[in-house]
Amino acid sequence: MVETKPLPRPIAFINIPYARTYETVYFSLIAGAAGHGLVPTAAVHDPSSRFQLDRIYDLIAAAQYSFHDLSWMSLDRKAPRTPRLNMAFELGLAVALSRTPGVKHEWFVLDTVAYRLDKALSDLGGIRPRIHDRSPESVLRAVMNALGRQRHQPTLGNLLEVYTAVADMARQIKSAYSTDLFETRPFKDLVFIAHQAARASIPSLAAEDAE
Amino acid sequence: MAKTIITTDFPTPEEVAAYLGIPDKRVAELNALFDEYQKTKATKKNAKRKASSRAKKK
Repeated sequence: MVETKPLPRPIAFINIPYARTYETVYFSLIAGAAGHGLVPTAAVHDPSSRFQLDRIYDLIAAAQYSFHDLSWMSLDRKAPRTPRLNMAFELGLAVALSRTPGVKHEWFVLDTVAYRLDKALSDLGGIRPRIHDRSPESVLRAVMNALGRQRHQPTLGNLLEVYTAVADMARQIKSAYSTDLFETRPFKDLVFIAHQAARASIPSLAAEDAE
Repeated sequence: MAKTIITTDFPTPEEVAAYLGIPDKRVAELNALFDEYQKTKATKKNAKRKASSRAKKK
């Protein structure tokens, strides 16, 4: 059972391949979620945790939103060469949770190739994934197309500022204590910085803070 | 596809730190790092503005 303190703000679960080539997607989703006032969570590596499935389920169940990047379609290089199935599995958990009576959970799917999921995951038929090219601009646009805010709506420029702050923090983490950003401590640091950057980058929010 | 509109307020830094379980000492370090980042960003922006202004005068 994951211990979390109750939070009156919405939580967004981020589900992406944990690979260096997805670091910009990772930073972008953290920035995009924080920039919309959501607290990102993710099933990052936690050496203290014994039951991964329980932990993942609890994280998704505690979230009101989830973003699932299913664009990793290749086999890994080490024998036996296998695909990564975790992203699709976690999406399945989110879909099931969203259909539980009384549960408020919205899930969003991302890919880098349009219409590919119609073939690879036809069970999702009719759901259009948000397409990106792994650049911060395209991932943030995908998040902006999914979410809006009643107050303190961020612009793409605002979110790119948040992204830049997160990327800068990531560089500092790599030189200070961890080259693997998909671990618990780096993730928490990145999320905290993203929230600070969101408050500083969104003009109406910064003005409110200055009062 | 219709957008989902978020109506809740942004979480405070204290709420984020408490939810993530970040110790106070680390929060202070992160705040200091972010303040430093903002100062560096402002300095670079000013330098760029001055360089641009000088280029326009030529």
